[in-house]
Amino acid sequence: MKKTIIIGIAFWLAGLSPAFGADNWPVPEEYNVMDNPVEFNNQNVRAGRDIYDKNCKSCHGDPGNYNALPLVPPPPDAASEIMQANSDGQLYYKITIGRGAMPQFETTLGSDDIWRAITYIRRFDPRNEGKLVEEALRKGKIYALVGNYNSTIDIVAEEELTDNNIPLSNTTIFVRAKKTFGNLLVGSITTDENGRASYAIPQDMKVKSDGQVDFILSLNDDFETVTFSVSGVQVKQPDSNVELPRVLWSTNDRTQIWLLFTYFAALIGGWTVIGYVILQIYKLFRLGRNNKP
Amino acid sequence: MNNANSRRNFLKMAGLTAASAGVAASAGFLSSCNRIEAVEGDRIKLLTSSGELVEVDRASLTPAEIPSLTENQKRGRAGLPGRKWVMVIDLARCRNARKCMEACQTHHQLRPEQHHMNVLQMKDAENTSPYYMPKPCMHCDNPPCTKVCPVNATFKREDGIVLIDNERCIGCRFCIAACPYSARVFNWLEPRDSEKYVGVTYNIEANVPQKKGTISKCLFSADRLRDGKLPSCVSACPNSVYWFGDQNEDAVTNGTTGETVSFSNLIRDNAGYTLLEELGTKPRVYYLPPKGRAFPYQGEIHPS
Repeated sequence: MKKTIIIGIAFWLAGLSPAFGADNWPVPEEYNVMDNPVEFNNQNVRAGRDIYDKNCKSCHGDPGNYNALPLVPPPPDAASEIMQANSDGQLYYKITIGRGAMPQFETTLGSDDIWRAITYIRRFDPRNEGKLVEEALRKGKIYALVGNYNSTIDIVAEEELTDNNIPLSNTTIFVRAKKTFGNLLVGSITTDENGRASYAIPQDMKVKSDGQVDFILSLNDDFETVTFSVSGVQVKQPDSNVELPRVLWSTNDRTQIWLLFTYFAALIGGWTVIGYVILQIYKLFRLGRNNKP
Repeated sequence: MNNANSRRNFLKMAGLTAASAGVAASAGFLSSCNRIEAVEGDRIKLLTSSGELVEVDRASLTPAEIPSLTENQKRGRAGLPGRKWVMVIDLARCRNARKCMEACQTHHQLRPEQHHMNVLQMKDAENTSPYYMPKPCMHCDNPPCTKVCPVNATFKREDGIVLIDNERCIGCRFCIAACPYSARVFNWLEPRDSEKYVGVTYNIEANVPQKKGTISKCLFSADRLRDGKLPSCVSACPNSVYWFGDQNEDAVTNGTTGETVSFSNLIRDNAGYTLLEELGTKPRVYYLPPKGRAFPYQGEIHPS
């Protein structure tokens, strides 16, 4: 009897364990021994960061900041012990298959991208501390002007060194257009040996109804974050307001003209006929009264 | 003659003086009403526009400039100039978390059974896989609902949003019958939290305060759009289901990740479609088919 109770309690505790945060997400044996085929270097970590920010951040938060969404079970922070206790293969399995609120990324991400995201997560592993020598970010500067009757953006880029500035040659500059709720990447351009580039504004570009657009120029990840905005470029003629079409079955202000015309013509015509008849009857009455014998 | 004239003048002057004194006195009285008595340590509870109850010191209060009902109605009818709002719903990413519904019901003062935004469980044919489908108002460019309204209470704005004016609505429910998407709800009972909204000026762009005996519907959170924010449902989604933006700019932004993409590319590359387009309603809400699901179908309403 005593044994049964003890076994019962043991089972009950085992059932409760997920509620205490203990990880009992079983991973098939073949995944445990998998190795990350992606090399642990700056470039892959950066690529992994972009994938993480797009797919993982909304629930898991910024690594190390412990600002994950308060879900049940809680999504662990990428820098946390719970996350780092997983082997690469276990992470790969969990990201691929998903469970509950964790999506199954096999349908939306390629395996390369999943491995890169894992590479990024591993950057926060204490065992990897100091392994990755972050190159010091270079300092860049961008200047731009709208030229050629609003058809190009003429860009000059230079690098700030300790004593002087030199032109940035063969560097990619990203061009983004400012939209209502975010910035849309519209193109990129590489500078020539003098650090100059000329971005041709696409003529079929869709912009706000005033025909204006703000461009935001930026450099790649080798540089400290630097942006230059070119505001209020008149790309096309301003639109007139959106026309609401006149339709058959509608309220007076939006119904079709011919319908309004027919209706009012019939109305006025009808009353005119009635008025005319009454007038004639009145005339007859007058005639009858005046011609009394 | 001269005497009578002067008496008339005297009476005139006396009358004018009394009248102006009255005006001055009442103006003083009214302006004293406008001021808030400052008593140190006196704290009062206030409901913010985002629906939170906060407590502030009475001394730090100043009367806000609140647009009058008529102004609200006027600007609510005009809409935001030069805009054409559009929403894209990615069915492959919906997990039935229902955060959109919660955010919507809080924002628009809806009872638990009333939905501007509703997540439906769909199955198209016998052998196809079921999926979740969030369904807001389609904000049709050719809306059947606005045309049946006998009092012009519901209308289409220039920026594409279909709104309802509760001050005009007579509760005939013709629009509910006309809408092929069942996007409209009726306030059969006192609205949620109605006691908190007593005396609040009606905001046509949020349809708050709700009124018993009138229609309510999804408004793309027109009040938030005026402030440059994404609609409540779009911001609340944890699974990147919603994209929202301006079709004139050809850009939509994801409410979860903040990523901005080209609207025309998004719906072209992912075979976007609209609901019941054979009716000619021209919806402004696009769906991306549930292919390559982020979550398997769980077959039950997720408890939240």
